[in-house]
Amino acid sequence: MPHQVFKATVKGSKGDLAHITAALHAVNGPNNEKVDIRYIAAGESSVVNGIELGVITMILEPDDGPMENLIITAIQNAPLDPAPNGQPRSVQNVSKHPNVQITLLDVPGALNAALAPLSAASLNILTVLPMGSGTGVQSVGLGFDAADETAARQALAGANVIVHP
Amino acid sequence: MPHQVVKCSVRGSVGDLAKITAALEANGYNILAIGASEVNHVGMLALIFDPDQDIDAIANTVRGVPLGPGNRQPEDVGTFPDVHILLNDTPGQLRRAAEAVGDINIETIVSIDKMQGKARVSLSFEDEATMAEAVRRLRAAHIQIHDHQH
Repeated sequence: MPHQVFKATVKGSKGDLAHITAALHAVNGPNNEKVDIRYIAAGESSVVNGIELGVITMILEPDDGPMENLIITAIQNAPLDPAPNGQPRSVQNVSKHPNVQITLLDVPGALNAALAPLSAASLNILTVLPMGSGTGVQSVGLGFDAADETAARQALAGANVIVHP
Repeated sequence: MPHQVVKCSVRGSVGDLAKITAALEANGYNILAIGASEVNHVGMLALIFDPDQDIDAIANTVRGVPLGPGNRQPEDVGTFPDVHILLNDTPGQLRRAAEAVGDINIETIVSIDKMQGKARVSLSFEDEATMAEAVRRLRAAHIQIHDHQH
């Protein structure tokens, strides 16, 4: 089964990543499964109205069945430190999206060649994550709205990009 | 000299990422790893290059990418020194690293690949002095540092 990508935002504060990863570590699945953060990307921006906004994107294992809701609940309830003015803060915009894994040759321009057909088809990429590398190749995860997943797979396959099932 | 992460934001539009990667390709820059996400129509990108000795030129390339109507271009483009850490491939390892860094602000995080049987993760910081303190704390917490200086 393909992975999902989990996305969340925080109105930035130092230490938020530790709180979120600790909340995920505390998750116990119905068979005592522990959540493994397989891939992660995060960054901050102050473009939105001058607010320091952090976005975190993760691929987690296991992420299917009851784990999905446990993961989302854990991220939503991660105990963040209060804002400097004492106001409580919480993780916002927690969502999950289909992740389409592609494998590219490890050469300049390979990523652009894969992205061009998606752009041409007006498909919005919500997330991009590295998913490991092998000899001469790199895997990349692309997150889409569920409604766009099939079209994205078709556009990528039509451009001879290796798309994982 | 430490490697650098290029970080930028775009006021979202479909196809922005392809335009940025096309401009980088046209200049022959090799993207080692990329992390990107969008929230409320604002996209954030963290890009790691190999090689990256010409990081200022790379950042200028990103700054100058025409994204569309209204002279839209990437915003908030900056470069940040990063450290690569090697984590055992088991649950809870990133939490250890994040807790070790403590109250130091992490600008970007990108999981790059697996190396020596471990997950290699890039953490970038505001400046070299901040990174040096983060590295000290990571080492104190027995987090393995991957030496990737020029």
